[in-house]
Amino acid sequence: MDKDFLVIEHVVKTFQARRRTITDFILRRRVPLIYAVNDVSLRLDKGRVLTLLGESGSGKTTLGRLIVGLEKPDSGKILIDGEEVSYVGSREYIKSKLRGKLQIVFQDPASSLDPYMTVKDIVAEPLTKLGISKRDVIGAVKNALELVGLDSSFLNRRPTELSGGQRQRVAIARAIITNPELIVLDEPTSALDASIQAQILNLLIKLQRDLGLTYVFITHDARVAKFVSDHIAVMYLGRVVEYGPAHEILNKPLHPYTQALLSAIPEVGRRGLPKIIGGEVPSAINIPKGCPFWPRCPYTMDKCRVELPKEVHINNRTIMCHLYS
Amino acid sequence: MTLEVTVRRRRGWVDVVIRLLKKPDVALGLVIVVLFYAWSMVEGVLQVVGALLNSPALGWALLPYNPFQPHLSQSLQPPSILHIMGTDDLGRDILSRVLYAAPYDALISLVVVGGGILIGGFIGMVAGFYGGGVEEFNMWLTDLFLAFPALILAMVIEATFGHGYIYAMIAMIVVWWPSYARLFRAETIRVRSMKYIDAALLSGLSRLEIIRRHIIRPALITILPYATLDLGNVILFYSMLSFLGLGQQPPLPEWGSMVALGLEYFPRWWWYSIMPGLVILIIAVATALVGDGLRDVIGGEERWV
Amino acid sequence: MGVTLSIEDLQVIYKTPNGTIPAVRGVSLELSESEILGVVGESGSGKSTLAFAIAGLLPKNAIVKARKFIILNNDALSSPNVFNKLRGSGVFMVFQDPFSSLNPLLTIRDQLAEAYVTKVKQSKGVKVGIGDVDDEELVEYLKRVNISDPQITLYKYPHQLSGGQIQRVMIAMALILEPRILLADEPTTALDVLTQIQVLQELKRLVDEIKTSIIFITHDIALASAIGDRLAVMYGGLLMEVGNTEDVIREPMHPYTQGLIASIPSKSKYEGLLNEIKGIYVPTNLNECPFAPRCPYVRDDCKNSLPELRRVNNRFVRCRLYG
Repeated sequence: MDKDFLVIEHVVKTFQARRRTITDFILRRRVPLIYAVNDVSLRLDKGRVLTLLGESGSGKTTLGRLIVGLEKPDSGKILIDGEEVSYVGSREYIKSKLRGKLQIVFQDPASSLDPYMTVKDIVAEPLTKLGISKRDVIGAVKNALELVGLDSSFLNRRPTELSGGQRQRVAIARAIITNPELIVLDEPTSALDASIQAQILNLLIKLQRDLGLTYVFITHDARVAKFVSDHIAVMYLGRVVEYGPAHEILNKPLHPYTQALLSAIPEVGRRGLPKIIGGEVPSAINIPKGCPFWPRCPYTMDKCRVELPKEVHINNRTIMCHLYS
Repeated sequence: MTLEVTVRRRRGWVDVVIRLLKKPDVALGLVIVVLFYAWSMVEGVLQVVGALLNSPALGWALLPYNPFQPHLSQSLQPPSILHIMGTDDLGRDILSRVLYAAPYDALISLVVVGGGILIGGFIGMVAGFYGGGVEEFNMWLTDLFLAFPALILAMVIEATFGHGYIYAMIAMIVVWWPSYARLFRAETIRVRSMKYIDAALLSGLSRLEIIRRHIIRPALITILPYATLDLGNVILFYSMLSFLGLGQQPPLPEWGSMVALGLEYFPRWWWYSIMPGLVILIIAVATALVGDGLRDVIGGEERWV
Repeated sequence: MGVTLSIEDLQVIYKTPNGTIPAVRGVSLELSESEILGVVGESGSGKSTLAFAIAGLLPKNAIVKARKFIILNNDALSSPNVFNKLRGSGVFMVFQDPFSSLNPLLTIRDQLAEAYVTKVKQSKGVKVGIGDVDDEELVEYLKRVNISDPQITLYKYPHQLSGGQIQRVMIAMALILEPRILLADEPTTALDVLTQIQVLQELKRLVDEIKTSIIFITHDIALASAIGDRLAVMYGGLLMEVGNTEDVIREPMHPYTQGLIASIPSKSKYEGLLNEIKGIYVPTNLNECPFAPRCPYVRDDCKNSLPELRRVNNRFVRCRLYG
């Protein structure tokens, strides 16, 4: 089923802000919750790239982890090709058809690779549970490395001997070796030098086309989003405030937050700093009532302070803002 | 903040040893430790084979004198060319007795530290990786044993079950594992937050498999300096136990009990206590030097700190 | 306009048990008051080492040589104590790694107060106790760098803050010290885009109001061009191109600069892949151009000798294409 290959339906994920203490127990007090993902629904067709665009605290990383099953949603569900994603720690995961088919590439090339293992073992790890012969494993590893632009001299090297870009390539090789259905890429180039970013982004897009992969791409950089995305979901404090086709959102952002985000990107050739909104992203514990963005929004109305905007569909766009409801 | 710049290079164990030997104090310690364990192995084998074949003389075949044979005419002789460490009240050569006792200390140090790593490692890694109630329980258990003064606990165990070498060994393992549990748990927690653990989970590996593949090795490497130093601690502690009469019993010589026996003759016939005491001190310091040196050399180079 | 920093042929070599590493191989530049110099380079370019050298914060195994090294009218080569005198309201540095920037045992308040005390001592010669510093004033500085709940954050310890918050605390410290030279090594990497702009605006304020000179180090040439008056592109421990920002961006001369600008994503993938700079940085000998292994225009004479940094119109370029 190619349409709606990825379905995210009303997913909520909370974390405890701190550990429960005896005092809490005695006073029957609830520990404050962080609503990392606060009722998010999205869909994505097979072979396309959805970008979650937002700053830290937006919930984009948590949503990415939920999609592959590294976290368990409090409520709502996530389906890939009709199959519900199960949590990696659960018993169902072992039997799940999606096991090993969902992969993730992390931001930090260092902590994504075990420094005590060789490149060969790192890339081969996803194949351990698949009962493949040793010879076939080596073949698959070599193939994966070739796809990411590393030759077989890298097989016996260790991560500490590699540059940041090379490490990220190894991480990508590990992610594609099982022919995954979907890959979540969590800021895969943010920790790399600008001169290497282009290489890795090109590689990711080439792989996506050649292998027919479906990507959920996470970034805070609208320039990167412009290059990789088919669809963009702009996230703020756990909610999707705007969603639609990439070129539409980038050319004509409707939500005030999207507008602010896009105008703040340093553009080469533009001297001087843009005028932007102030205020730090508030902690996800004290989410303001009403629209989560109202304290920083230049267009705040009285309604915004008390009532959460409903999702509105305008052409291909979904937007959560009182300006449009 | 200082900018540390070093050239990264593949390090094998040979490299580690070479770098250790570059520091003179560590090199000396290493030589002493290696000699100690090498000697203990040889002497230990001789004693065991001698016991099996019912010819105990094998046990002192390599020694200058028979450590058990009294020569009352030679009693309390000061150190000399004939008797490098002097003789005790029964005229027995102290050096021979020291050498004869060595394997007991060597063995117990390896068994207790090894046992501590096995038991503490298992409890600590499981606690660190599974978290939640398991972690709480394991660490509560650890704290419980840690809270007991080691000496009292060892004495209680021996008083309950019996004296002697084996019981001392068991008592010490019981006292020793909690520190390792703590160390292994800390290392497990550090590694658990690494993203490659997430990747392994996604690949369908079970928790135990992940512990085996990703946690055991860095944990062992991290505790290696501490464990090396700990060998000396065990020897010190065991000497203390046998000083108090809780170790192997006479006529078997043991460094600690020799120190105790020699106290009566101190300070006039000082060599009786001082010689075995010196040996204990030297071995303990040597292991500490090697452990320290290991920590400086290994110090987390392969890790992502 | 006064010159705050003047260095000629600065070299920094690290001595390690495995050999010597040349990190900076001959950098000359001048910095004026109220000027922001954007230093652009990737890992291995020597940009951070250059900053540490100017701040006098290199480790013991670093050897510094220069034909000239005048900082705030002091000869830095004469004695290492020069830097101790200047540090604080003379020269200040914001580091790349937030987590090792602050003392973990002191509250934010105490560390900001320490900066305040230093400022007062160095500028007015007055000794103030850390306890006498007014918390309200410190809170104002935290507000300027966009920290929420500044009164609460003031009394927190570094381990309770996120990387981005620590970076902002360091910038606040810079605002308190009002240094004449500020070295900022990737000061906004951990910050969200919107906060980044806010922080950059505060830095610009320092420049406009206090006439601070800033060396702004980054690997992102777009960011450097947004804030810098001049750009200096570094590669392999050497300057490759130096010039006014508008000129460099409009007409980059060095192939590396061209590659950096061209590789910035600006179109969708459907319009074609990004322009890459091929390969990765590999250290080279001093008798070839360090960029030769990756240069699309490389010729034989690029590998035979190192081109000099030449003046071409209003620009300095180190490339055989220009002579």
